[in-house]
Amino acid sequence: MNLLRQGNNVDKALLENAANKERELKLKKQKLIQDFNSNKVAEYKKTVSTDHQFTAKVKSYLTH
Amino acid sequence: MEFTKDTEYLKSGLQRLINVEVSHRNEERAALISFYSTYNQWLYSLLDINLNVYNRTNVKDLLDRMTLVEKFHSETGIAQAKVKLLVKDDDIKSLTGLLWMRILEFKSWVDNKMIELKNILEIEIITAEED
Repeated sequence: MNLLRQGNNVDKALLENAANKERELKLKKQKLIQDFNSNKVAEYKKTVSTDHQFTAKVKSYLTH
Repeated sequence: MEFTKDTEYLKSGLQRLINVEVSHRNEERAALISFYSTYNQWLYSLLDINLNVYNRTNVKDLLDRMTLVEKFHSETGIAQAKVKLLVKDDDIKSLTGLLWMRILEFKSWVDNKMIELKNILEIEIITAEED
């Protein structure tokens, strides 16, 4: 009887452990996606002024 | 008679120079347009990324996207080399390098996020297999 109870406790602990792991991964993934979505435009904007400089310079160069 | 011959000789020499200049100008223009086009493909391949769509069932799609980004990365590098070779203007050459560098920084940031997601999804797959 004791052995059966011990076995059940181990199963329960394993299940809890797996559920915790899954929750942890889900949170990590959510955090990553949230960070990506909130910062993507800001990271892209760092390229914009150089793009403007380049296009202005090329336009003037090709038309003169 | 001699004067006419000299004039014709000069005219043909001048025409040859004009042709070389026009041809070079066209190549310069083509190199710049090609660079700008491939650079934009690279940029939009990064901007289009939506990490929400990836899960443990489509990790391959994420890897394919990473490969596509790498393809545009190298194509832009090749187009930039052509600009360096053909364009006379130093400011334009330098701006091309600067622009390439800016996109590379943006790419590195996106790459890190994609690699991080790939790792999470791979752990999810292993965990699901264990269960």
